[in-house]
Amino acid sequence: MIFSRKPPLIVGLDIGTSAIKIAVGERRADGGLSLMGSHRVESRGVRKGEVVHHAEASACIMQAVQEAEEALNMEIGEIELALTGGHIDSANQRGTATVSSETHEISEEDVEEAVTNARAGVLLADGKVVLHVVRQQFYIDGKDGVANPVGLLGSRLEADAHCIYGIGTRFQNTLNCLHERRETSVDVNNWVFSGLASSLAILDRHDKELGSIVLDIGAGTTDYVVYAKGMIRQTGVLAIGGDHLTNDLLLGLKLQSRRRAEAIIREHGSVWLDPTVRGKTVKVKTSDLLADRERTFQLEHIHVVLNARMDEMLRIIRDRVFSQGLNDLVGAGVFLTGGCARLPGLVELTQSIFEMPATLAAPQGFDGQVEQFAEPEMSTVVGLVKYGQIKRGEAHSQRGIGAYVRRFLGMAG
Amino acid sequence: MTPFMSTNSPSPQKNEKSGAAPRRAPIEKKVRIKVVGVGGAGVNAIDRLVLDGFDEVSLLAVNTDAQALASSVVTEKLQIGENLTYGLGAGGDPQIGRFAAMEDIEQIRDFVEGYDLVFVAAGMGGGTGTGAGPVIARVAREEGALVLALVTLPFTHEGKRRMEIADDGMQTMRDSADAVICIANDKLLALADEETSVLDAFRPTDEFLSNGVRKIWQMLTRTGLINIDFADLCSVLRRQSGETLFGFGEGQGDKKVEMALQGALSSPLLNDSDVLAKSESVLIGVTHGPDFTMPQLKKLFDRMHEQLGAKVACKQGIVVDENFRDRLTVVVIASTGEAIVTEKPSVRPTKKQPETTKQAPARGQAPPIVEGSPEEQTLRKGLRRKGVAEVVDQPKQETLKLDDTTLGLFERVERTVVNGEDLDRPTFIRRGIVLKNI
Repeated sequence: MIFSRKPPLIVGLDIGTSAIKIAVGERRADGGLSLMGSHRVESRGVRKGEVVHHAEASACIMQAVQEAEEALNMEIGEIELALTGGHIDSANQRGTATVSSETHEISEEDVEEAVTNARAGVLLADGKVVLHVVRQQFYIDGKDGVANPVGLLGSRLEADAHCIYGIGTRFQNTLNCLHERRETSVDVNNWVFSGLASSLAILDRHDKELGSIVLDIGAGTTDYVVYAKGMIRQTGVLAIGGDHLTNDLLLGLKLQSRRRAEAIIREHGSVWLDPTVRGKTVKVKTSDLLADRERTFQLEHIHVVLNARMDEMLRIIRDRVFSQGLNDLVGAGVFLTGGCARLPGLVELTQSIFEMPATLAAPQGFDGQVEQFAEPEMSTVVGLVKYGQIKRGEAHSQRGIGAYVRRFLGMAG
Repeated sequence: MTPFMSTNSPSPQKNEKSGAAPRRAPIEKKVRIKVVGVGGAGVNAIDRLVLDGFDEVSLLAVNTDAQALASSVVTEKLQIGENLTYGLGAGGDPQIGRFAAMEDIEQIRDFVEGYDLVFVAAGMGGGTGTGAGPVIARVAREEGALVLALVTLPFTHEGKRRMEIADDGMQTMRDSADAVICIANDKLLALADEETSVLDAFRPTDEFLSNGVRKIWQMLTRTGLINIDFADLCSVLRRQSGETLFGFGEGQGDKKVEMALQGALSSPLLNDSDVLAKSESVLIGVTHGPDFTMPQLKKLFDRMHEQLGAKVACKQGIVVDENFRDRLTVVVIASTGEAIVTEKPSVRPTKKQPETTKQAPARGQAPPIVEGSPEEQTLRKGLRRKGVAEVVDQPKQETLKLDDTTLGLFERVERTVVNGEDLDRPTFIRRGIVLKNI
């Protein structure tokens, strides 16, 4: 087996606040992506996208990996891991390099130098580490709009790079959970910002060129990524998600159990305030300290509580994106994905707040077992496999030190 | 949330940074004590402390009812759950009391932070004390304090439902505090006669709570012939799931030994008097005058041991006080300590107080015990840290876990704050949206 020419499978692991998801796929000979199977277990010890209870989270991850191995009849050795958390932020920087060769032909090394200098320009507070340096565009002797300058002539090369960074120890909390499994050794190939992974899964080249905003609304966090002119321009995380909806409703309706609140959101939830629901009621079984009883709630109350939360969350992200002046560069609109994106009324609410088209988006651009992956909550984990596939493609096409460094810096397509 | 908050707690220095030349200046060993009264009954009890002129410990009154809180004589006050109750009280619903405490949990944390010993006084059976009391106890324990809950149970004639709520509250309190001392109001009826007014009938409870706090404070802060210190108290009470007994008695004249013992061992206010026989660890604090004789002391302890089981671990403390000529007080704290065996004994910092014969320096007012040893500091830190660690991985947390889901999902995670606004609090509450008739 070791000498088999067949490249190993690509495994994505998404340690989410509500569920741990694993997806397995392979890079087809033609460079495309084929997905083969997935597994999902309920998550514990994770809050707001980060591990807060090491033992619980480790146990869940171990269970997920083992079950996936059995279900898919394979051994999981290397994974692509998604990372998120409210501490993640991003910055755009420009770096410069003087072209070193006598012929003024720009080499991969010159490109690396310019990108490294761009990265060095991002001033990070103590303890922050860079997760991704994504190349945006290049300038040769001041002339912009160059996507790949290698082989072109010039004397001065500038690179725009988008750096995604966060607090190292917080990432480590999640990484440490994988070390529990030393006996079967799961190694991390790449760690990927989960918002970036989601955007890879749902956007095609066209969406990126036109400009789009991806909102991945999970249970713990909402990750956002903004593309304009084919480049990533802004990324970030707001640690608000479905758990906040649950908690708000729990307090608002004075419910006793979290599960009850989640069930009410599933069955009766909407974030769009529709005047026709006024006066309508729903009956819900609740248990008191003493006995089971049935309570009647105004549907409007449920919607008001949920609307307030999502309205606020969307406005915060809108303000962050618009403050960078990116609104005029987004032509395709907002893509809503993640486990909470299905909430009724969310598309309408997003359209009214962002004043641009919004759509519910699920992973696309792969073959294999399409149905089980074409769900909004699968975006991150499918994106991870896609990320792995892109990396393999890069490694395939350009071996050598340059590819190694690019891998090391963790660049995405 | 705190419309009439006065000064923010008289700043108990947070864990002094160690290493700052502990050798030169002897470190003042002063146990920092906070007494939190929660709900109507709890606040009444700490009002009694103020009225009795006891100002050695920091007091905090917590209530959902703004009006009741305003009438308290305690200076430090915290109104909780304003967004939930609009300052009108919890209306006898413990759930509201609990949510109210959750709503202002960070402020509660600020108030109890940095204290070694926190008393939580609350009446069970109502809304605020029953619901918010355990939350406050738990927060205090998370902050590393030894938490002693003093709770009252309602009169039987207040109804079965109220008693059930009280029992539930008691259970939650046992899970939340290190130890719970329980007083049944019914026992008050035994004390009352035909003439006793309703107002007077409640006095013994308040006095008992007030006395209890004072006695424990005295025991911990006075330098005795044989000392009882905070570590001793911790070793008896820390994380007890069993019954806790607290009693004290005073005696005078020839029969002072019998009188004091009688008071300490059969206090009519204690819920369960056969705890002593079942107890596994006991602290006995005796304060007597210089005229107290050795045979009298022997008689006292012999009598005491008759009441105790054979396996009991007993720690005695003796304070000689010039003012106690021909007088005697006995304080007993005992626990059945069912859970204590599950703890790793090696971790417990069992610092044996050397039985030094220190001269009791001043009388009347007790000076803080001065201890110079750096170990003392380490011990204290160790205790604090241990307290915190226990909150995290105690097996008992099974019951607390249930609470976690109802108490709010974001209790132990970093808050999401944007532009100075705590987004973990429900948006509709922050936006002032009122849901009518919930």
